[in-house]
Amino acid sequence: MSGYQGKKNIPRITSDRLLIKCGKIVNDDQSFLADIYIEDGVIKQIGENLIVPGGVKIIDAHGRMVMPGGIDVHTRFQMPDRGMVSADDFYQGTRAALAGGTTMIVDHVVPEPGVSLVAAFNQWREWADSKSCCDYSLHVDITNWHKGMQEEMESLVKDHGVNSFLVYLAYKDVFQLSDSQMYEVFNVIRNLGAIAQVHAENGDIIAEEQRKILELGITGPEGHVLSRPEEVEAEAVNRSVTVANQTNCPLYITKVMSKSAADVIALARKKGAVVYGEPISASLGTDGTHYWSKNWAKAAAFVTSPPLSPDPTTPDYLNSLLSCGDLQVTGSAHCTFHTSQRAVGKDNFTLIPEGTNGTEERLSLIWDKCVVTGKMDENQFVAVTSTNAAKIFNLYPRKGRIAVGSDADLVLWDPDVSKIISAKSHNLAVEYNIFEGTEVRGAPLVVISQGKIVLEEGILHTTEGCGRYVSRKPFPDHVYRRIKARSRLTELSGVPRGLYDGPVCENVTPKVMTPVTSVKTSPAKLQQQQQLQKQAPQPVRNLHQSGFSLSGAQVDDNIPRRNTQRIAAPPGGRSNITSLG
Amino acid sequence: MAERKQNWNREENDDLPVYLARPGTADQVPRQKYGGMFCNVEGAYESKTIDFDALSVGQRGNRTPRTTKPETAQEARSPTSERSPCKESVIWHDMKDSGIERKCTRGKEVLQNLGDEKSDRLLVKGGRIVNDDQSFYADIYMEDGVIKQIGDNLIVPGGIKTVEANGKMVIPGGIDNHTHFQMPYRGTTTVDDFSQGSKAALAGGTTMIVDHVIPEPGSSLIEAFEQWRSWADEKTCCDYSLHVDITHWNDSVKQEVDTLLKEKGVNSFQVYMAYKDFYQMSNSELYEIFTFLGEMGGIVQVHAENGEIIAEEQARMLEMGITGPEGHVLSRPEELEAEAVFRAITIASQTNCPLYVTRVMSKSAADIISQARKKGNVVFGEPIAASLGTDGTHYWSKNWAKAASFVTSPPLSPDPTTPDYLNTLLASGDLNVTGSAHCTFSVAQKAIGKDDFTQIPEGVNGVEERMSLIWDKAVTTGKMDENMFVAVTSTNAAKILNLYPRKGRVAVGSDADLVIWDSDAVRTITAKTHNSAAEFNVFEGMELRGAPSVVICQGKLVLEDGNLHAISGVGRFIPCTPFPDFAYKRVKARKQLAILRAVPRGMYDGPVSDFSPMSRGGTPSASARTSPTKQPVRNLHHSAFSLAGNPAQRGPPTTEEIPIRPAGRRIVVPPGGRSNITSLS
Repeated sequence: MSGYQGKKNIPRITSDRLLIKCGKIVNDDQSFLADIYIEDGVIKQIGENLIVPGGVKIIDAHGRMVMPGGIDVHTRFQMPDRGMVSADDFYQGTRAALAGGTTMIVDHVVPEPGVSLVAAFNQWREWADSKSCCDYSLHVDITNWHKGMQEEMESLVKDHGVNSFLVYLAYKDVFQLSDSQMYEVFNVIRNLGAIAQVHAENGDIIAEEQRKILELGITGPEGHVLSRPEEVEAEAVNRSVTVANQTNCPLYITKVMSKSAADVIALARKKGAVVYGEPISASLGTDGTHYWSKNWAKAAAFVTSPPLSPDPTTPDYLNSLLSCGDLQVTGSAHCTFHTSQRAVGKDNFTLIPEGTNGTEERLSLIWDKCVVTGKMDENQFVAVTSTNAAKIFNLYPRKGRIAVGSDADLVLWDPDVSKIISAKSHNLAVEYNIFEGTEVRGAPLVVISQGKIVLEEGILHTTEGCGRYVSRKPFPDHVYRRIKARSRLTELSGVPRGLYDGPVCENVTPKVMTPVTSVKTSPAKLQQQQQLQKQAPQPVRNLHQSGFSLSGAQVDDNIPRRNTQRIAAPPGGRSNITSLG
Repeated sequence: MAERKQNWNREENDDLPVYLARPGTADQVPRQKYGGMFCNVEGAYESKTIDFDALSVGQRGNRTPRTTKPETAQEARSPTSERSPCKESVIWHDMKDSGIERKCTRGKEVLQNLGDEKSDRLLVKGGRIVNDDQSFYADIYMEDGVIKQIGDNLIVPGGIKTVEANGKMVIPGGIDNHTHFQMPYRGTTTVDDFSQGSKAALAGGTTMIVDHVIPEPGSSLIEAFEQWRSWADEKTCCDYSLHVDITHWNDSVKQEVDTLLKEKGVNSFQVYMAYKDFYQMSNSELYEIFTFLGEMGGIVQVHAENGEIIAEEQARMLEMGITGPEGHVLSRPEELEAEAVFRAITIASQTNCPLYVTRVMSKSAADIISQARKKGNVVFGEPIAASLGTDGTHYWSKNWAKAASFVTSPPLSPDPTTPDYLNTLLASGDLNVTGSAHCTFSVAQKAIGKDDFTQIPEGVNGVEERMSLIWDKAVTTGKMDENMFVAVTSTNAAKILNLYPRKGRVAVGSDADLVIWDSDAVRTITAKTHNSAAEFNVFEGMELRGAPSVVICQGKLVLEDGNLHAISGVGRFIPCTPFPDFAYKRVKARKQLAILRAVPRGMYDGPVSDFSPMSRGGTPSASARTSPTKQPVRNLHHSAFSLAGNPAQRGPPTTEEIPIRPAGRRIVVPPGGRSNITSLS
């Protein structure tokens, strides 16, 4: 299939130049036959009968599809969890990604609550730079919220090329943010021009349900899915959509796992909300019936949050929504743990480390479930596996498109090959593959990353540490053009009215009775309130009322006045606004 | 006679407050059916009256203890008129103008009543009885505030007052499931007290109100309940019942809720998702309350708005310099209402608790409810008179006082198509109950917030206009028929409150709360003529078709010829019992289905990784946020495990603690034999 043209012993590094002949180039908008010439990791020419230097390596595509390499927008390689680290590190993980046709990953930085975002980001950079085999970028998770965070986020956006932040609505008392905090974070994110990502599950309800399920004596992995019903996911999606609409902030829902959550997103999009949904390989490829497996280790391998839906029609439904454009992006949420690591939760499902595999299987799965079944065409396939992600995260057209000047991350796709996914043959470090035994059609034949062939004839040629960090600029056009237009429209103005000069009721007690509140709240809530009060602005009313002294009693005025006291001629003249009408 | 003597003695009970009279007896007072002085001849029921007891859906009787005065008192007082009715003595007065004929009686009546100025016996003739399921022509005879007979050619005692309905509709009196009369608010009180408010209710055809008890956060629920009882007992002109709002939550409140449910006749409790730092409940608290009420058979009502976001939005509005009433609606967009409704439904469905959403004000909130109903959730939506009759465009009125009079939460939607939409959903059954959320403040009281919309006391009128509004907007437009009208204004509320069929139905044995409805009457609503004390009416200038021409409450005529004869203090507290069938039959069935089971598995015997228990359970910073009352869940189960390695830790974990067992150590022969569950399958 491939061979050298001309002499073999050319002094220059020949592998930096590549010519793909006779490929059917598939972008998200159109497909056409052309040759591609690549040099120094960049596509230099596209067309027929290209004039290329001698001695370049030639790949003959024989009319097969050449697509932009996949972008996996959600991975968690090498993620620390309670002293453990997820089984696939950046090397193992990116190797698996490349084997599946994914040439760029976007990993999540998960700072421990209390740790500086920038410090955590640098830590992840260090890990990834030394190990990653393909280009990567990073999302940063906001795991708690206080005043200083805003500057850190600003610094990440402006100096470090991060344009997406994830907030958690689940993991009560660890990562979870309250609605007010979410509102504030979204405001900051919008002002910075970034994308708000949300892990959408109602952590409060989950905490209660987990307690209930454990009390019932259910400790196995089935408790995980029982305590996280899909309604709770849909509720959180709905809530975050509401807050995002209020703050006019673009929203990105990670891990859409259930029909109801997907429906909420689809509905919100129909109402005009700027919201994107990311189903993952696991939710597109399998379902949650395995949680009831008699094999504990197998059941535990499926544990992820939100859980896979026990409804076996879910994957098909999500694939349909992905095809029609209601869901836009696919990730893998690849976060694998060894069975011995999972066994930490062998007597309590709440302790099982969460995450499933999927970075290697993602493209083949979607091809098999969507393109083979006729739900989507090859162009839409490219859109959901690569282009949309590049657009949302401002990587387009460098990534996600085959065009002159784009990065040479390409996949030569073979739609006819079929293989059976198995833990025996996958490129991961873990013992289980949640897609075990699934037969998929469609697989990458050749994968080119950074202009180099990394997969050819089933053999991976990856180089540890060659992956570059791709920085992303804020205000992606694909997202922010609408946001900007809306923020111009939403400017509000008050109604100009005459001054109210009628009687005002007196002896009014202040609205917020602080001494009483301290009694009514539980100690936990009080502490939380105190924490909040430190951050949040003082009660609003004082700001405005203290300045007014025209007539009647003030709320903060303790000296009672007589009822009859009226101002006959208020400044600005009398206006008769109290009459009926 | 001996038995009657006993009953006579029981009359002493009447001196006691109604709710103490015969406490605990769930039985009805046995009525003498045959042979009594005014009882009809034996067999009179058989041919003439439909057996409504057999027809009515629910069981009546012992579930709704009556607090009516023993009826034998009336009989004992009039011993002379042991006669068959003398129709000849009745003189007819025709009053064709009003369309209603009222018959006054002479002769025997004088003897009968023996100084009693008003007869407790009433015959409504020639009316078309409209229930929620069917309409039919029949006469209604009522005595002592209870409907005794329904049918044609009733045999009734002579000398009774007769109301000629002339074929007009006779409907069960309206039940306003949401009022705030005499509500204390920051040192002032709403202008309509129980007397004024219930008068307005009666004038509009509503014969029962259900008011909300709002305890100050931190104070006792029962004390607040008793306080409301005493206010209402003293002043109401019609029967009433009470919802209690849960404004804070802890174990003692839980006890009080239990008492209120079991002993005080309250079966519905409202929680707030708005009013941050004041009434608002967190999701966990909501979950606990819902779980508790779901077990105890109560109905959870929610005020659904996301208080946290509202607080943020309010601050933003004030920063922008918007201080007028338009800020109220701008800071409470309908999405926040819909979001909270969605969240409440999710929690209710998780806890298997019936949910009642008070004040459905917007299309999106109503949509969420109808979607949830389609998915099978037990949820009821209550649009109010204001949201069915008007919209929120008035918040931008140049007249501050007018704009302020519309301030209520959730606000009226600025979308002018909202009332029509809500009426349609009401007609289709997606929304079930209507209230008024009547809570009126004078302009002077509203003016507390003249410089800051967040200070404006919230509430609109509507108790008087509710029935006419719905008739005009839904029935005359053909959206719903008269039966559905009865369902949404009265029957459904009675079912949810577990008062059906005592209230909400025209049937033998039901309370004599009736309205003769004139579907042709047209009146214009204005603050000049309304019965509320407020200076503004949010429906000002609206012309409505349909009005009550006669209102009968507790068997007495309270409205006729446009004259209101309401008496303050006659209203009785009607206790509501838990587990209303209308909501709980489904909930009970689901409870049986929802039993969860674990998967039986062999013991895991593979290697276990090292892990530090701290980082997920609680970093030092996070520990402050956990509730001290709840131990972290995982300790419960760890403590029991002692198979291998170090025995599981007891008590809260600390950083120094050793992991459960060293990695790599294997158990060669676990008890119970080896099961190969770690291999690939």
